[in-house]
Amino acid sequence: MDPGLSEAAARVFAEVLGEFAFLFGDPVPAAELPALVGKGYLACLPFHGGAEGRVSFGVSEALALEIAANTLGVELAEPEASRRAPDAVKEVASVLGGRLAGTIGRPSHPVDLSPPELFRLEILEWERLRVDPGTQCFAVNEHPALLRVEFIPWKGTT
Amino acid sequence: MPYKVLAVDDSSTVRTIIAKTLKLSGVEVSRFGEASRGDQALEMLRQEGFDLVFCDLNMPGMTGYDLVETLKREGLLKTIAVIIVSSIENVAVIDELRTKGVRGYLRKPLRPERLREVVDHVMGARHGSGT
Repeated sequence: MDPGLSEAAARVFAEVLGEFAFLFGDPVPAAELPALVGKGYLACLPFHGGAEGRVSFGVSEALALEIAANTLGVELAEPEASRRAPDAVKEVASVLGGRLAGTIGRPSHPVDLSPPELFRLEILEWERLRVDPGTQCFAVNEHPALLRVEFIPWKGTT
Repeated sequence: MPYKVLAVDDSSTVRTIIAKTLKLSGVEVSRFGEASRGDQALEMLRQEGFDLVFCDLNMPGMTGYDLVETLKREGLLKTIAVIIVSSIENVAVIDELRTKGVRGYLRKPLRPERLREVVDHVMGARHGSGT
């Protein structure tokens, strides 16, 4: 990832997690990321217009539950937290994408965002993303989180 | 005066947050409706007299932009105040929406005090806060 974008992504990640879910995440090297327990969620938010690609936000199931509980102001054990966890992950991804849109695009070439899509990740898929150089890793309350901004190269003719 | 409010967002979490934030902000609500899609919201707004709409922009199918365009075309923005709730920070987009008749903008995540401020401004502080 471009160093400027990478820096912006880390800042936006901290802002959004803090403001949205009162959670605080620290960037960590991939090798020091807390291990995934169970499955993971990956919310992907395509962008197009001035640039084309997608913003992806991955979390463990346990972190998804914390995000939902904190966002809704309910206890972790309440059924509402587990019921809303996938939706809460999509919503955080949507806010992350919205905040990053200004950095991904340019004033003269803004990007438009599509609604996020959510996927469940098995451990092997999670590991593949974790070690990919384009992924930024974060430890949030000892839970793992991943953030990626990928660009699709323009394939048109000149 | 309590308001009839419609929350339009494909995320049920956000609709719940809007309801909770309204309660925390002290804005009086007589009816809280929810729509997960723009076309569903449009039908509800055609059939029922809502005062205030909190609307997401980035939704599958009919987006918030499309909904605002349609409401404007049908003359419904004269009686319904639309406040966009989004994470976008593109000033040009927000300005364009205002020219179409959108009355306010709230950045996600919502905060009760900011929501109250925007509702008061948009509705002309008609709900008797005494402030």
